[in-house]
Amino acid sequence: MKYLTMLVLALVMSVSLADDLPPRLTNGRVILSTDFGDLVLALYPDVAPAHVRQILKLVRVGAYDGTHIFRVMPNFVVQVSEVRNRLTPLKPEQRAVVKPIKAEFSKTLSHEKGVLSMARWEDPDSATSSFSILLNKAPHLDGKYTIFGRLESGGSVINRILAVPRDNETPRQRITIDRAYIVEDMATYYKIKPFDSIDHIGEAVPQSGTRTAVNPGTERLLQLVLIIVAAMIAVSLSGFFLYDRISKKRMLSLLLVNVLLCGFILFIAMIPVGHQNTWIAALVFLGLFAMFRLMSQFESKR
Amino acid sequence: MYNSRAYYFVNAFVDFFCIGGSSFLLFFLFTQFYTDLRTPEVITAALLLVWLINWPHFSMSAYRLYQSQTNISQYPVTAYVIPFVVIGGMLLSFGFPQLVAPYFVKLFLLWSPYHYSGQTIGITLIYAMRCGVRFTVWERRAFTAFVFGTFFVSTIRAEVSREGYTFYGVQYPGIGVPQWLATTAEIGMWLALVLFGAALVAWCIKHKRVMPAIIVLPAATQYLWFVQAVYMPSFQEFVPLFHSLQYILVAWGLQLAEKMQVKQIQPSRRYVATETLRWLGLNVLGGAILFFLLPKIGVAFGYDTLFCVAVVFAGVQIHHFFVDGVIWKLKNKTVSHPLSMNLGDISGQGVHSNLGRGGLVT
Repeated sequence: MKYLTMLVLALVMSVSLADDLPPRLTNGRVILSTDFGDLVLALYPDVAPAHVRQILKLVRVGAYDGTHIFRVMPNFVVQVSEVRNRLTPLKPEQRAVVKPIKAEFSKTLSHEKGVLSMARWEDPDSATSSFSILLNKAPHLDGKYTIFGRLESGGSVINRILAVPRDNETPRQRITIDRAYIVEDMATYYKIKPFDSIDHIGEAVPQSGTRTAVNPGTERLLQLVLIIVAAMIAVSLSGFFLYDRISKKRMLSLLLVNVLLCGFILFIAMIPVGHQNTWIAALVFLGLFAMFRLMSQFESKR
Repeated sequence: MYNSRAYYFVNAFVDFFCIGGSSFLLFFLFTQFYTDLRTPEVITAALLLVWLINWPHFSMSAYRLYQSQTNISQYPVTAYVIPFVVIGGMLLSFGFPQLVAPYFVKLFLLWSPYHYSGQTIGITLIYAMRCGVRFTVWERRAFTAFVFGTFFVSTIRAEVSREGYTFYGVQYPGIGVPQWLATTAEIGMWLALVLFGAALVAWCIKHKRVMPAIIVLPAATQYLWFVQAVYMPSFQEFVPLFHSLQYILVAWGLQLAEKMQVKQIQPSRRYVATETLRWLGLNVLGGAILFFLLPKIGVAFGYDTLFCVAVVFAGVQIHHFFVDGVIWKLKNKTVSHPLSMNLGDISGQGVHSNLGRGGLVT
């Protein structure tokens, strides 16, 4: 009887200790590589085995490549889109992996900062690929959504994403997940890309002064503008040096090349602005039509 | 008196079929006996035909520009500068897949229907020239307004949404123009049609002659493509092929006539057969290189196949729009003169063109 009591006590203690222990993690980590930096996801194979299996399969077949973070709600979540909403259509082998998963709600884990929570439709068993990264405690989600892992590294990446201007919860700039992949050797990974704690999620991103303040999307736009301006200068310089040697007709065509380059950069810059104002959108469309008309003057006398 | 059989490059049946008859026939067959859905059979048929019709037509424009030093020296900016601009756009798309590629593809997709409209006007003017019809400024304006009206209506309808669509491997944004612009475009198109119709009637009364149907056919065909059948995906799958078919007929006529004149070849059936086979063979091969092999270069560098297809298709077609914009100018006699000839002149058999009968605008 004494031994039996001790055994029961030991079992109860081990169960309560197990509840306090953090869940076991998969050996490898899933890396979501974005323009804003890498997000490192650690998954819980014992808490939500079916969800983890599906996520890993989707990552392995490249289904998350080109998806995006379509929902950003400060103090609540950032949400990764379903894989079918990525830039390129899914290949048949990728589509074959996307299946509804039976809910695996945890009775012990709660929705708090860094938790990965599977998104679903009304039906609890309707989750497929979209998931959220929790930015704060959200107890109202407990027992209703499957927790399948946590964000291990990428706190400052989340802060940069939070700094992107939004229309309600939709970022104005596409936050694309360029690539999702699995890394087994995390020690080497963190040597190359230092660990980025999630403790400071929600802290404001510095707005100016440091290089990190520049939104990578803006930085790339600046690079692009510089390249196109360089091309325009090259075209203008050739026109300048060839001025006496080429006919007016050719000079006009060279000028039109510059109009095209300039028009293209304006086109890139103004379409997002046009999404805020339909008058600007109308101007963009009509401007483009005018540019096509001008291009038909190529190699012709005025 | 004009010989009406000489209006055509080949004959009434072939010209009507290529310029628009095939479009109307397929539209009729689909609406009566098939479906408006983009079925696998429709996609397969269109995919097979692009190799023979659509892709070669892009190669044909490049071939026409680059086949002789005379042509190159006539259009040096197009021949030498534009390829760099287009390749630059493609490289930027690969370098900035999220920032540039969607807009590069979008630019091509908006330019494409504009280019179709340009071709419709061009072919109409070619047939007008062959039939000895001269448009007045106002007739031409009404006609141009109607053709571009169909372009505006179809394009603006699609651009009211801001939602993105996918072209092969690239998702591109909508512009989000206001709805009133679409309504205005539609009203404008119908007004232009009324004006054009009135101009046609006035022309017939003034000249006591019915306007040859082949002159009006390209505009009617474009209306079918862009307005009437725009919500019929099964038919839309074939529209680029119909556009290319028009192009091939005219480019083929030009190639045969121009080469015969430049190289002083005697008209013969043998010449028509051998030159046709050589020219078509080269351009089918050229089309395959442009659209099948070029994307593979990007794939070799590790890019997604569909993404490469989207960027290369956009680049090649933008280049085609530029080249086409310069090589078909009818004011240029080296273009208009061969375009006035027909198969009878080139093969030495059958009906000859109206060349030399005094009415042609050359």
